[in-house]
Amino acid sequence: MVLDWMEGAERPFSKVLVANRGEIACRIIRACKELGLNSVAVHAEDDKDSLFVEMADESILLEGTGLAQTYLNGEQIISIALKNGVHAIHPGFGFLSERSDFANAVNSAGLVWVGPPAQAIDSMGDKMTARRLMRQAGVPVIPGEEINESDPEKELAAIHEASQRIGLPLMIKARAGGGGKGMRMVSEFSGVRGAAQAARREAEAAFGDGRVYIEKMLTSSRHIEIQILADSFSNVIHLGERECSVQRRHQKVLEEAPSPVVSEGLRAQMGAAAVNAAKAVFYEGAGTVEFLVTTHGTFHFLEMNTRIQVEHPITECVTGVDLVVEQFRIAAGLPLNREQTDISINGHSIEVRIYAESPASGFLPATGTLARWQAPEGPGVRVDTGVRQGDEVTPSYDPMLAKLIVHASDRNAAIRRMRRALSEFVILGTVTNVDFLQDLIQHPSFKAGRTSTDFIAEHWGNGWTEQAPSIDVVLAVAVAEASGMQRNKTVSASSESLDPLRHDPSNPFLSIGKRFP
Amino acid sequence: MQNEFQDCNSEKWVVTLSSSAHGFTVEAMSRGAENIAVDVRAERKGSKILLSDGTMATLCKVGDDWWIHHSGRTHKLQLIEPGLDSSEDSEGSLVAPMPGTILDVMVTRGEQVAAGQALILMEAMKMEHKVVAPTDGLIEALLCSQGDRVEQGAVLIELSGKE
Repeated sequence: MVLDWMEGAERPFSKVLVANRGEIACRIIRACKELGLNSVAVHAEDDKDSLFVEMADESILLEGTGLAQTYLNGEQIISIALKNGVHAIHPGFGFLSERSDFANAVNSAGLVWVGPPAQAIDSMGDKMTARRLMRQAGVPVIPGEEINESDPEKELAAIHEASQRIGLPLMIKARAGGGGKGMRMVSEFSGVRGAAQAARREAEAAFGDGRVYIEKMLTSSRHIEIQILADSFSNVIHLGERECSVQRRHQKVLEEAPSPVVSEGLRAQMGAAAVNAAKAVFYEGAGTVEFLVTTHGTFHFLEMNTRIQVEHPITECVTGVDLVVEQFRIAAGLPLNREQTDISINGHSIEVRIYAESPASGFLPATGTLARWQAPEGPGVRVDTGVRQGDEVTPSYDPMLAKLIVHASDRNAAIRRMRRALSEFVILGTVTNVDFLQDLIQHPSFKAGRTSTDFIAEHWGNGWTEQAPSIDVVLAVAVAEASGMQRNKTVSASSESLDPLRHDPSNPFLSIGKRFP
Repeated sequence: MQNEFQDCNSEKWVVTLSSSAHGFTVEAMSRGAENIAVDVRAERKGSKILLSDGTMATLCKVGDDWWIHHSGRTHKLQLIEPGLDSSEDSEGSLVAPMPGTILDVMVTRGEQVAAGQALILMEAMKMEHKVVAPTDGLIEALLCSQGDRVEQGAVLIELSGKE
């Protein structure tokens, strides 16, 4: 039986395996439920009580320990899919989402891959190939040069010559790069040789490919990305931009759409460039083209992310398009049901990433029990998370606990709504960045829309200090202690005391709609 | 009853309360050496605390730590058990700043180290962190080895500092 929305699809499916965990797995499972698709969660042993496992229609244990044997084990995941009547695999982000060999293996096994073609992943994964393709497609790239010398000495000489033409400061980047590895900034010509050697060594170790290229360093630039959707019939549209400049350790902390500096004209130009970028690699599915935008308003291709992005909800808020649903429609072989002229930007949306980390100690990751977890609610507030009260935050996985997204009529209203929502967010038992985020969204420079990739370093260069408790706070604690409140509300280090039923094998609710191998 | 708490700046608070039919009255309150006049009252409302300015606090105790959410901010106050001085027993102990895996132990027992010298390299959640010597000193004890998984706050090294 084909689902009504899938009528006429070339590759119909009704059962989806989600090859991911945590927040994004929950997000995808929710889309499955709305579309009438059966969902299968695969999980490591230490995730057996996680929210996404509970939410999925079926859950299957991944044998082994550590990421390589579990969430990165494509072979095991495909074999589980085949044994359990799965038709399609959604990889989420991270993990296997940008592994072209996995995409190929999924297709070879006769399954539907909810993602772009393997060849598009490869073209964009090789940063130098991507640069060349983008230039050919008329997409502006960052001024720079690819180095094509196989002899190491000649390569160093070529890099040195190129650096004279490009000027300072510049970046030496690994061709196979990613995650900040194999990347060196150079601010003096005398440092070019050493930086090139270091970048090559690091890239060789990390990717088995030491080849590098050089690009001019665009200081104080903004990180602005364009969301695109492409179907299997060469239709490509863009859904406007996301401003992702506020970062710490090269990781995004806050994103907003639209960008406070992108005019309708610039949006159309960047959108057209992103559409060309996608067409140049015969892209299919949801993708993101990242640009650096200089203070002069010129934009340059940075890279393309060939998957759903963490920050996709803000685009969903301002365009009204459910990107995960679109991923499923496109994977099934349906044409886009919108044209470019159907897309308009409605209001303003902001997302902040709630991390278990200590902003007061250099944003070091933190762990603990989520002894109390009350997420904000109310108009224009969306919380995407993979945790709930009682869960443990362990060092095994990413420290992102939730994404808090607000949508309002304009930027100022969105900032006010975010401030309200953050103040409602109660997380006790684990240190988080919620208080830091409060200071961030109330910072005059942020309110004025003056953000760049240096924003956090610039304004909290000497670190962030948490507010000391007021007399009221200490008094409240003293009264709580004196009144024996902890006797009712103490949470032990283990979450099991909170919900004993969750671990009781005889609990009949555990087996409803689930299958345990 | 009297209780002592330590805040995020290692400031000590001592609060003396007396109980009555209407809840608790503050007899005395001090922060460090400073006595504080208190004109707010607080009473318990189920699992929350209502303050006399009308604000509510959500609280939760985990181990010796009171976690409290009040006016949109989160604080942690450590209850200090009478007779225990937490600042004493941590002297010379270097602890893990985050939970994670020990990648490398760069010193040996009995080694003389200089302030700022890297002693241990650890990793968690894709991030590397160096534990460095806060002062010159002698490595008295090594309490971890390469490959160990450690909790936040676990003692890694005992360092005999300067007097």
